[in-house]
Amino acid sequence: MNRSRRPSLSNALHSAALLSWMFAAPFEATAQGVPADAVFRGFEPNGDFVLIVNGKESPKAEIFYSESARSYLILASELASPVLVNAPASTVETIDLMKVARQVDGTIDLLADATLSPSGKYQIREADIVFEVGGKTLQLKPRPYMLGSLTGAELLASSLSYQKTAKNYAPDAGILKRLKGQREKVRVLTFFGSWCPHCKRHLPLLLKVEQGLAGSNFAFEYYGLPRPFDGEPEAEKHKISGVPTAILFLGEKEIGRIPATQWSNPEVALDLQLNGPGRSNAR
Amino acid sequence: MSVSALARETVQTPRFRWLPVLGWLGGAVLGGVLLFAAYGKALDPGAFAEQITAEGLALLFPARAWAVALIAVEVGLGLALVINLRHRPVLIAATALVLLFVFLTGRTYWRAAHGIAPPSASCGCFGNLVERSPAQAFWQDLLLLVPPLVLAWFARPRPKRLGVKLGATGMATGAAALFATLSPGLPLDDLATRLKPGARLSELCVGADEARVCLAGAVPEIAAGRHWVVLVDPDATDFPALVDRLNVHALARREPPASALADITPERQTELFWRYAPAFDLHETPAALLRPLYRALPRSFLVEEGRVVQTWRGLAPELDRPAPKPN
Repeated sequence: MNRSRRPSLSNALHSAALLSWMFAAPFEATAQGVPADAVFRGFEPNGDFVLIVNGKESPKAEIFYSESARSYLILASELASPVLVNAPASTVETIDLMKVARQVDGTIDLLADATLSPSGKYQIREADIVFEVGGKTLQLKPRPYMLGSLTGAELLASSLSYQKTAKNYAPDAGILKRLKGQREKVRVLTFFGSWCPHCKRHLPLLLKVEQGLAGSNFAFEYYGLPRPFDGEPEAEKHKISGVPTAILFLGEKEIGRIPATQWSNPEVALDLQLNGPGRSNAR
Repeated sequence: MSVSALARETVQTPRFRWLPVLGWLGGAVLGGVLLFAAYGKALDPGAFAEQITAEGLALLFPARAWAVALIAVEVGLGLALVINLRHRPVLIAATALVLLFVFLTGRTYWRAAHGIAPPSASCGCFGNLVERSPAQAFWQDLLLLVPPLVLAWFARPRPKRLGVKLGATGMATGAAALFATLSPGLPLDDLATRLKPGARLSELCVGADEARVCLAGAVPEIAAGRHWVVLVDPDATDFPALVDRLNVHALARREPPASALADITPERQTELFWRYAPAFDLHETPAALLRPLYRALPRSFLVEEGRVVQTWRGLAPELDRPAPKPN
């Protein structure tokens, strides 16, 4: 990756290019050459932060994260060009818009010949970072916790990361078919924390299972807890000691729970709770 | 010690010949409890010193000095009671110690019950080896210490072989102080903590009933498969160097993957990401769950399918390898 200063184009030109890029249909990076530097590939949608530009939240900003680069890529109409926040170097760089390739799976790669223009170092203010780009003050701030009752659709809409994880998860089709045959109405109440890394990884899997069980006798509800959740009335009422925890109800009666350790395949855990040993088989 | 020997040592009336035995038994039970408690604390005097600081008892001297002194006194009193040295000064000191313990556990219990202290707070009276809730600690201390203490005051013996007993008690006290001073440097981590080969993550727990949290549930990512796990202190001066070494392991994609556990909030976790860019997973783990697992940080272990295979003081050698040379 070539890291050098280069003359920037006008902001207007960049904004127009950025907007056209953002609304353009996804294209394959292979059409423009596979990135030589694997580090700056695979930026995934990330819902952990909100972007503040000159003190005002940018609700439509897209933020991506690359685990291999440990860097965030920010795309926003307020910015003249995409911004790379590079945590290992504590630096901020801008990238030529045309060197940013959106993949069909929603991830982003930087092309091999992309040039990164330094914009200085970021400052850390507790969990936020603040930096200057193109005369604007930008701030990446952790997204506020999602609290209270939420639907699966609301959760999915709230996070690109949830959407991508859910999209990539393939629940066991046989088990889904069996669960769809459930005769009695089952309510699945899931307590989670949007701040909890384990929930971030596993809650989208249940969201995908919910989609797979659409039209069945399952009703899914979600409840976001604060941190810490000691004393939270709903958490106390349902004796929640860890998140995520899903509680299964037949009518008003609790018939089982999926504790934090059984979320690798939520449909399997649901099936076990409903149809496991000693449980009346409703099929 | 035989009943007749006890009777010979004791001032008594013919009607209460069993009182010396009862008195010695009370003293021996109390002494045994004190010795066991001192053993647990002597293995990890650092944890005891933290507890002394938390209780606000580190007056005039550093908490570590108080910890060593209290452990030594506990051993001295414990041994004195076991060998029937139930003289007034010994019993007064033992009574003061018992009252202190009961007061501290009672205060913690009251605080936990009124939401001032977390429900998992523990007095640490038995070091890291015994997991007790505040309520358990209070009631156990009350029942284990007070009745034998009361009994120990009955039928105190005449001074016999006082020199030998005092000498033995003094030597034990000195040995305990020496051991408590040296033990942090001795390879006793597996003995002193709950984290040892064979331990299951699902059994490393804290709290009771619905508030019970186990390591397998708090960090499910390490509960299955094979993982290196390092317990870390992000505030330690060597933390940046530790992150660098773990990053080498993570970026080289060496197997098994490494994770770190720390008592941090999500906000602190984010701040650490911006500051040090860890390439490995840094998991938030409650302090109450983490503290009984180490004497000094960092401490590493290898876990397979939820079972601890091996532990290391500091970083495991496999995690301390240099970065591979570029081709």
